Amino acid sequence: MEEQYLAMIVLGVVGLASALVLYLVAKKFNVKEDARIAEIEEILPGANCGACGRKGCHDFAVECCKSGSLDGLYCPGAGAEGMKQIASVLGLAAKDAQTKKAFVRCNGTKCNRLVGRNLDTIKSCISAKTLAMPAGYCTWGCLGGGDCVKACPFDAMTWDEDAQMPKITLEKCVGCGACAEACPQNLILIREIKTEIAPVVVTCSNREKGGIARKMCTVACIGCGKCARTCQHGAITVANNLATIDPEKCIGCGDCIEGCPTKAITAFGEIIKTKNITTV
Amino acid sequence: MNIFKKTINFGNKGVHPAEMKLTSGKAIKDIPLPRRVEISLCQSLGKPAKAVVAVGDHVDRFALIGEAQGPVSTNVHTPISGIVKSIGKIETADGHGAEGIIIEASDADHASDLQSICDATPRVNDINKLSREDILNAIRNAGIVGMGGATFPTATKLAPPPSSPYCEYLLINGAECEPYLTCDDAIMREMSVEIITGIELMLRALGEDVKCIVGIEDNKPQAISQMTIAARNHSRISIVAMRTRYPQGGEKMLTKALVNREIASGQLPISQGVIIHNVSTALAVYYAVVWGVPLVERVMTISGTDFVASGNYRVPIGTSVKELIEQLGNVPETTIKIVNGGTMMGRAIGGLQGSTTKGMSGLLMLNTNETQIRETTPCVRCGKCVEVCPMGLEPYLIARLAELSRKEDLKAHHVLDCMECGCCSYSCMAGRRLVDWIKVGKAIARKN
Amino acid sequence: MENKEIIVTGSPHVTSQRTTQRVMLEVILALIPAFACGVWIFGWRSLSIAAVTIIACVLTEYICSRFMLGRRDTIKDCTAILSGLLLAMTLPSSIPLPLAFIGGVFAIGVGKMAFGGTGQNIFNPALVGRVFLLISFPVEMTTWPLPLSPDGLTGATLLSAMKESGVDAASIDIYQIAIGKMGGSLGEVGAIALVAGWIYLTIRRIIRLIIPLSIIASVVILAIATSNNIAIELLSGGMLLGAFFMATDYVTSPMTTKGMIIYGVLIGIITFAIRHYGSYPEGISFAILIMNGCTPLINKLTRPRLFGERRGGK
Repeated sequence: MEEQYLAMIVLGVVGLASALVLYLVAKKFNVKEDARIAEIEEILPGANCGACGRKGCHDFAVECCKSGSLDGLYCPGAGAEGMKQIASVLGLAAKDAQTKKAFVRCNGTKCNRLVGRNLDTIKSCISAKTLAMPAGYCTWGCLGGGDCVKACPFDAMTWDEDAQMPKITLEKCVGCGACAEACPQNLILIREIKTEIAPVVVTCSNREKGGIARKMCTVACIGCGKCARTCQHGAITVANNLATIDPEKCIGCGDCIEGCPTKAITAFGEIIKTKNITTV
Repeated sequence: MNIFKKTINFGNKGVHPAEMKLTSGKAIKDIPLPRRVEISLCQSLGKPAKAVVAVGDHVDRFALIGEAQGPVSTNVHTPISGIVKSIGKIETADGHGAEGIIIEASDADHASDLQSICDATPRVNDINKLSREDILNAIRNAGIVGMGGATFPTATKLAPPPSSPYCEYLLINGAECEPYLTCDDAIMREMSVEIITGIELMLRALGEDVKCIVGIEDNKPQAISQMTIAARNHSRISIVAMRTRYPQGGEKMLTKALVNREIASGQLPISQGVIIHNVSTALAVYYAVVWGVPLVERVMTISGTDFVASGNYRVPIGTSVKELIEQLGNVPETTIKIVNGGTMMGRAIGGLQGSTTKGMSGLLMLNTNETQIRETTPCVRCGKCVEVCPMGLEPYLIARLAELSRKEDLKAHHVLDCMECGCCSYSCMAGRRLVDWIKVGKAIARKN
Repeated sequence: MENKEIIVTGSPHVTSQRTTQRVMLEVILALIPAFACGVWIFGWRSLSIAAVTIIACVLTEYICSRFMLGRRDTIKDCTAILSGLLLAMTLPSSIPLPLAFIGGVFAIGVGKMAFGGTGQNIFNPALVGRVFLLISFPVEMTTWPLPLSPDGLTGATLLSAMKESGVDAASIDIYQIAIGKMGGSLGEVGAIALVAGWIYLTIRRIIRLIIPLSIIASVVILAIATSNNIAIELLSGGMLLGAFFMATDYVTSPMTTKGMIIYGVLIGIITFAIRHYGSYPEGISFAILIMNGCTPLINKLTRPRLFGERRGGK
């Protein structure tokens, strides 16, 4: 019996001593941190996406506390609502900021592409880009490696197996730009979304001449310039056989969409309006 | 010179894939001059050459059509006479397209080209009279690049900057360690005298006391004996047989095998006092200096177990790949992969497309038995990739880091030192695409 | 010529014929003579033990990978079969079959799948299973039926006899041990068959010589230094099975030559220390497991020399 008591006492004493050491060390090396930092971090998405230009959410929170105003500090992940909360934590005025979304400027799905590639390789766009492409394969479009999906910290990008292309869930997308950074083809456009204006985007990046582009993909921009002529607001320009839309001038009327002979222009308005998430 | 007693090798690393030298005994055959050539202006490492002809111009055979832009760029010539049809983007074997010139020959052009082949005479009879500058200029003007595949301009390599260490050895690479390829073997068997003359010209360009070692793997006994006979009156040139081991033809491995020196990471061979050239390059140097002929054709191995016309062919540069293969026979139905180069480092191409270039050493048509499409299973950490890596890297780890995009760790594990020889992927029992991931890792590490 | 038929991949375009599955099958093949020895010595019951452990391992691997990790199962690799066979070979022939089953489930479930499956485990699954059984069921795990005795007599293994009853080393007939006439687990007893399997694997270049040699060399040197009988040290207990088949497991052993030497020598030293100074009569399973845990560290310390880099840093 005595042995058992002895063991219990020894263990108890060792335990108490360890706890004491831990307590003292924690006390001694405790770093005082602004309590608001933790509060702000709670509001932030915690994805460390880097869209704010800081190393991570913690750095962003630290900077918010340090600087006197929220000028130049905007977290697309938290959005306007989140920034308002941060502002109220700090007792500062919230700044208005645009909502941004990502769009893939390619619609080269498996069925739209006229020349496919029988590729057997690792799941990486960088690798797919370096490998040979068959004659007539669109070298401008999506390579199907899924680097953007891997890069998305908000699960807004998913892989569409049937299309062999990424799919963006705009409700989840915060426009942080991690996917645009990852895309070796530079296909992903981060565009500001204005209230109640459907974003109209050219879903093609092919800069080949019309005839060649048409043989590569059924929905390629052939640079015909019809959209530029149709647009009454001068928002569309065609350069290098490719149309681009100026988001500053576009009012989202959608005239160009109907006019495009290859259906290379799309509006994402329906999604935006029904979900009503553009209210800034 | 007791060359046969000496079997040397770069160490216990590397692999020994099935040699598959199907065309090793075959003589070099000529491909008839094509009527239409598509010549890429990007024939060397550096900037593309600048076109010096205009659409509609008539050019003669061997005329300069593209001018080098800087020291790592190279001149481009035409292998046929004809009219310049277009200057602009042409199709390339890898499908990415490049700047190029398309030339088409009329019947009269074709006839005069054929006559000019009959009339050809050497320009120089006594090479001893040539000065260093004469040789270097002839090489530079002829647009010669390293024909082992790296396509670095030869003249630039032969004239190292004065600040670099003194060159002691000229190493000539006759290893041809890649499976299937036999083009270097074929030229060494058939044109050993010309190669030795080319080497002698290079030695003259380099300096008086530079020695030359020609390394040939011991699976090419005929090439070794032919080269030895051709070199017997040349005290500065020695022929050395090396134990067959891939990747012995890599410049670092060759230097280790022949002179037992190790080129450090990020250094050029000249840092160890060696300059390395391929045997094909030596042959091109001979033609450029002695005959005054620019680099407009090269010997290529066209092979594959099911391809009936497998052999070594002298192909004018710019010939369309499709035409080339169709002249020889059809692509076998069993072909699942077409490879430009050897099976270890060559690039698979998406079909018969593009045209031949200066760096194209082989065109292989592989069936399912020759090239395996393997399922990837989890790494079992057997350590085989570490064991075979000639550069002393840890491919399994680098590949994993590349998957995770860990840039700093990739750099710490020397991802940029990988020469993509493929030994790790070759020996991986889990069928992992290590080289593919390492290439991704390199791209990540290079990103700013 | 349709483009569809042509496949584009990265280089290299050839691979060696060796796949994980083939290698594992060859290791199993190399184990079969030693296992057959066990069957011959201990009777047909050995077969049912192996069957139970293999079934347990394969089943656990399948269930874990399909339903818990949500991945393709890796049964085709045959690694689970090998682990099951190795586990069976470390068990005494009298072990109750349910215990063998539990051992198999624990070996794969905790020893391998808990770490993430094939290639991710830190410890050799078979040894995890064995040590689990040894600690949880010490009586069943140390009851060794005497060889070739159909009446079910049990006795001690050589090592425990020497340790606990003070049997004199000099009185033991080495020849008897070499042909397996000693108490022990299923796979320990056929020393000659184990050596044959090892030679096969070495000739086929499936395992490298370094690990077994450094284990054996360090044990031999220690035996000489402490004037113990070398033959008994090597032939008794699981020394050969451990050195040839357990320590050389790909996943849990270091990758570089230098690392392999460190790993092997330390296994030898720890085994010797446990045998002579510890409370267990046999220590190789513990030694291998301890060194398995050190393998990532050894790998980190013994990185291969970069080509062109001078020895001892840049």
